[in-house]
Amino acid sequence: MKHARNADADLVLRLLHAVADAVVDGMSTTQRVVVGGIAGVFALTPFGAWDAVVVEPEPLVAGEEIEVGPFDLTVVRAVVADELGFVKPLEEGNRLLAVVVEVSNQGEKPAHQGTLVDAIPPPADAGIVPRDTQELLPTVLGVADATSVDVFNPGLPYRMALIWEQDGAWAQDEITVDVAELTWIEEDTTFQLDDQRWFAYGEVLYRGRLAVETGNDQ
Amino acid sequence: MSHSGRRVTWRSTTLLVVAFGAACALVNVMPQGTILEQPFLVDGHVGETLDLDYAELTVTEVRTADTLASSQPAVAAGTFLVIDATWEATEGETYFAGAEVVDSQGRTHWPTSRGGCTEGTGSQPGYAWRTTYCFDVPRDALAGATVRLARGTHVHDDQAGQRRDAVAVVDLGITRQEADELWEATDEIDVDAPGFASATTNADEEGEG
Amino acid sequence: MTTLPENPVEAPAAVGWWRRNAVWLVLLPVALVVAAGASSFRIWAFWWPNGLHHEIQHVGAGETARHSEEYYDVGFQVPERANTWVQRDVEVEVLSVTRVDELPEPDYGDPVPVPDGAVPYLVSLRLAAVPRTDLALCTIVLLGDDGARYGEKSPDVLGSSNRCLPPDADDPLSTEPEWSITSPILVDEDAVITEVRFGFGGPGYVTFDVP
Repeated sequence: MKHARNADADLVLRLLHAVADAVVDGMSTTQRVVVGGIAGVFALTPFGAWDAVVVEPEPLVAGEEIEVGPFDLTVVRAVVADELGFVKPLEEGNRLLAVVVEVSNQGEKPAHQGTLVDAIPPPADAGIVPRDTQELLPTVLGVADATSVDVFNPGLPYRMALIWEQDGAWAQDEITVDVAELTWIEEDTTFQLDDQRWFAYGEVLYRGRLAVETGNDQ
Repeated sequence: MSHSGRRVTWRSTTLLVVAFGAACALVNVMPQGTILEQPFLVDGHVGETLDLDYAELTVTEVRTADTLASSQPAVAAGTFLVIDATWEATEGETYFAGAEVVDSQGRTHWPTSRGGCTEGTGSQPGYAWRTTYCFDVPRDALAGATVRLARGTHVHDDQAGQRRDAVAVVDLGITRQEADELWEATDEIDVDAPGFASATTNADEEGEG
Repeated sequence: MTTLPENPVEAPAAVGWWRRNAVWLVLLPVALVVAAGASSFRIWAFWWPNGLHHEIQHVGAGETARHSEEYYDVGFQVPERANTWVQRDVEVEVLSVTRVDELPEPDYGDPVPVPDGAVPYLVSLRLAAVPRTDLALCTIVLLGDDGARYGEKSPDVLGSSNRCLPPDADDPLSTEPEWSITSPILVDEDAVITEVRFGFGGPGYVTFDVP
């Protein structure tokens, strides 16, 4: 039967055509539109129809309240100082950068300090250096009493400072502050870790330039 | 020839699939989280000694403070609900990890270790051990609040650490009017370090002397 | 077509369902035990080694017991034993269990008052082991007739974290071949002490009857 390949292909084409005709004939207008739309998207594949949507972060403005995870969050200001509360730079010549935020947990359950830390990644252009660990984790202190608030209970306004160590050579007057998206993990089926927690996948929701003040006044 | 009962038949396959389906349905429908794993709640009020099987618990006093005096004073974002309690383990050395305040709206609040307060405490049989929990809470959490104390941890939201175990739920007895008074008060409290329940006065005198 | 040697109608009818599945029915409980065991690693990994769960020996009042157990040494005290299983043999004799009025003076800090509802007991032990035996996590427990285990906590009520060695010991390693210690334990004033248990955090312990 191999000698009849061309004739077979022709037959298959004609058969498909016949089937398509029959199917389209049996469809309502709405169905035709939907199927046509799907076919159209497929036709646009070479032009990037399936590329991930790149979300441009919304502008972050100091003093304006935004919603992140369980928090209503306001980035208040950024301060560079030689010493903040009991925190001092570990390396001589370095300084401290503090991003001061007002945060209020709108949920039903307390939120951990780490959830706030996840929401505000270390500013990339601020010359931040690691402290005792390799990670750029900030020290988080309450502005009112310079104690480490480890839990944000629901319904309370907390004014917190996230403090990083900064390279002493850094000398600019603005930093870029990002606020990352927090996603609620109801049941962790991926890693089998704790359920019911906030997790930052790393997507930036808000981004803004923040003037840096100098001095020790909190 | 093989016996018909030993072959893979449509009937046996169907039975197997149905059995698996029924087992899955049973596991999913079974009220595991809502009934079988529920903690045993022991209700009480301030001043009452509660028998939790593994320990005896008394919530002795409820106060509020805006500031907790200590070597590193702590300032409340709302007000500190300061709850004094004594624990006496009955079986052996026991750590009491669970402590949370549940307000009348169903919100939960966790304790702080700031200002010399404890988030959890241990005790052993033979004598009562006094400790102080401090919860930073908003004004609308005061009236009708209860405190939930247990050896099982509260940290996991599904309360897995308290499965089928005794949990004390103590009504703090705060009325709406008292809540306003407690909120207005601007007290500063110097939290006592944990110690023997009965030796409190002794230690205080020594501390002041 | 071949002729069958027997009558084909009789044989299958005699074998019932239970007989045909006998092998699987026997294997079913085995499978259940294996499944339960496979999901119970927490018991041997966390619960079993942490606490006194295995009675090595139970002796009468005045008799000497031998606490023999292997433990995993992380090398805090003796670096050459690091990450090895070490056999520890300690000979123990209860010299006395005495109810007293006051707690003895602690080595450091202020005197500790006796809280309401409790009475102090002093447990005296004679111990024997080869020198340089690691006695860290030494646990001395008084068992009351109320079922409570008194004195499990370390450090003890006077703040001593190494109850099996004389108060002036620098580290948890024994120095003499034989020595005596006295350890204070607070007990409910209504409880009657029935047993003394001795171990090193777990799982093995030895039990002494109290006269």
